[in-house]
Amino acid sequence: MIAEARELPGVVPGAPRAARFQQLTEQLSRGLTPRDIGRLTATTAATLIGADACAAYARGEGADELVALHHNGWAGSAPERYLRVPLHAGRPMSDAVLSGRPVWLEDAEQWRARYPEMAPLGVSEGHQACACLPLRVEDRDLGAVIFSFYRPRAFDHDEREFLLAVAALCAQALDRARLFAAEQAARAAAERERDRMAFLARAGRLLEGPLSVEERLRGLADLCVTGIADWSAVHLLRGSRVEKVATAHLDPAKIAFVDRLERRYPPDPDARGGPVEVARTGVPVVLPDIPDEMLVASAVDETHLELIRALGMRSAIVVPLQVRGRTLGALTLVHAESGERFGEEDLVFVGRLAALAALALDNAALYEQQRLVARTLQTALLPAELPTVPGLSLAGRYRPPSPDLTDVYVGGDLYDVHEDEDRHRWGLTVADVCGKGPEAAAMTSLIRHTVHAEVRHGLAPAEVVRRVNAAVLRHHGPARARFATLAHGVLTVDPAGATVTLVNGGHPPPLVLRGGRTEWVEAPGTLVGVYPDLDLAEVEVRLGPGDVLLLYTDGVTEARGPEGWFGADRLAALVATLAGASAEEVADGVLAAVTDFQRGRLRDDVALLVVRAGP
Amino acid sequence: MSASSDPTGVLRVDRTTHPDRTELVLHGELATDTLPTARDEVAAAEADAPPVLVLDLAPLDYVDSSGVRLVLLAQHVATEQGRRLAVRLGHGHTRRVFDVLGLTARLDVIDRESGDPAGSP
Repeated sequence: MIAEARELPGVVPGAPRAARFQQLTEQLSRGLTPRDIGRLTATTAATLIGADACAAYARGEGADELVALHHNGWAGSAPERYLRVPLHAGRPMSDAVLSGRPVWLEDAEQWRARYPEMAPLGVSEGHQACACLPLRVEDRDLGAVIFSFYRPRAFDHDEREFLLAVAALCAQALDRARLFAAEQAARAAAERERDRMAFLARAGRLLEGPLSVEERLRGLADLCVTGIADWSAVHLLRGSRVEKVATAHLDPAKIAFVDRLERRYPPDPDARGGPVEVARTGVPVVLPDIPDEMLVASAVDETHLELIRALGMRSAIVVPLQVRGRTLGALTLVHAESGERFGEEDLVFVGRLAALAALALDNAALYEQQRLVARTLQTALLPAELPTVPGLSLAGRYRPPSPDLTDVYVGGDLYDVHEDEDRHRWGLTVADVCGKGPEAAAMTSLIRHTVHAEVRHGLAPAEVVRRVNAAVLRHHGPARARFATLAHGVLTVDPAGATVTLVNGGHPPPLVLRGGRTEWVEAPGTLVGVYPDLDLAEVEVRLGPGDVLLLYTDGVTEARGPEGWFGADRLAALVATLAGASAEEVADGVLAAVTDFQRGRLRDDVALLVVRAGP
Repeated sequence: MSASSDPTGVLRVDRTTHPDRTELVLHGELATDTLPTARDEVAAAEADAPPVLVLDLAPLDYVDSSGVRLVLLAQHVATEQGRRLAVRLGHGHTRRVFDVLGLTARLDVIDRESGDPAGSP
């Protein structure tokens, strides 16, 4: 009898069979996993039957081998040797499984007669009788159980019925446990899928964040070690080099260790299967196991080997960061102390994560490029700072339609003041080009530089605007109807203030503030860029101490908000309230009013130029 | 002078054909976002080569620089093809826009005088 089984709680060897059968039923009903059922079969059930040794095996669906659930009572190394048993007709347990009928061997004689090849094993260590019973429920083949006895045993009808009843009980419990295990596995898979979707969503938010590309990739690496890997790293392809931009582990000491390791033994840029190769080839690599031989092969010397062994890497996955058919780098995830493994089935998830990162990278690169172009153009369009004009103060403002476009928007609005040193006068310009983007920017630049050149040639404002018109027509031709409007003037200063000679090429009329009163400077003229001849009128404006001249684009007057149009009247009323304010304050006041009027989102870009005379 | 990004902008164009002219009456907003509709209607009218094409802009609530450019392009096409382009500007917002741009004197405005609101070509 099985010593271990005798000591099992709840099973009293001397109790009547029916009571012990009931106890077995109860114990089996509490077994959750197939292994629990195997153990109860090989211990409690075997005790009930009076077997001296028992082994319970499970068969996977359609599998051609049996896998041990539990062994009990066998001497020596038999249990280890028979963890997996291939199905092989002509052996008692296989016959029971394959035929679905029990095999009864009552003594050593029957062993030798029916299974001469197996008999030496079957009757070794004093075993005599044996019952091999298939574990089946309906047509589900679940495995088999073998009960062995040290004495010959006559399996009479009642005895067989009893053993089969015990086996049937175990089979039903095993069937239930397998369904339970399958359900658990399905639930775990669903939970893992849900966790992964949540992880991807978190990664997506992180990668869209308002940070630099490298900060975002470092954030991604950090996120990866909070649930899907022990280690993570991101490599980027930069020209012909592959550079590591992020390494993460929850333990900072381990990151420091890797940093020291890599300083001492710089990674081999041609290492096979590593992030560098994946970043170059775009082919992912999955290493369910990292065998020691792999570490030995990659180690430079004994110390290096010791150090990389100390990292305890067990499994890894390296996927390329790909977007639009280009590989930008690689994402590496490593399992170490968690003991988990990556498999081919993880490629889809990790691939999606890498695709998110690649897309964010690509967008950032495009955005950066656009920003560079916009910045370069804007520098050519607007003065870095306005010149100092004695006795006057100047303020200029430009605002794109949306504040978040500041870095990337290229508008067609221009303000500028520049000095004609030879004549001690200054050219003032506010212009607005039809359209936006690079074409508008090119025309704005043409206007700015033509004005500069012609003012320096000593031309009067109307003639300057005519030259601008001719230049635009030359460059764009009349058929395009690419037009612009501009207010342009030349300013001279004297001890009592300043005089501005203004001309208006189809532009909204300038506004003058004297004391608390405003007046429009009416000098109607034709827009530039369409007609070869222009109607223009020069108007002289005198600015005494404290007087203010405001030039602006129609982004101010054409602004529209919940209260309707901003309009010329509202502008005049607003400016009237700014009497006594500095040039900067007037510019800020107008810009703030227009922005607030449109709830922060401008319908069009806005340029302003404020000239204030006197102290 | 551009970029109308107001999503509520709507433009309706009514076309009437007379033996001596085709008239397009524009209602609503003529701006960047509604420009394609207007451009298609003008192109379709031009394809019929009417002796006179009238663009009635008076009913417009709003016109931006892209709308003005559409008129200038139509004028250019008409001049090239020896036809006539006329506009009605009304006496409200549209008229002010064209006045400021210095275009009222450059275009064939058929309701130039305030006493002639209907204007006929």
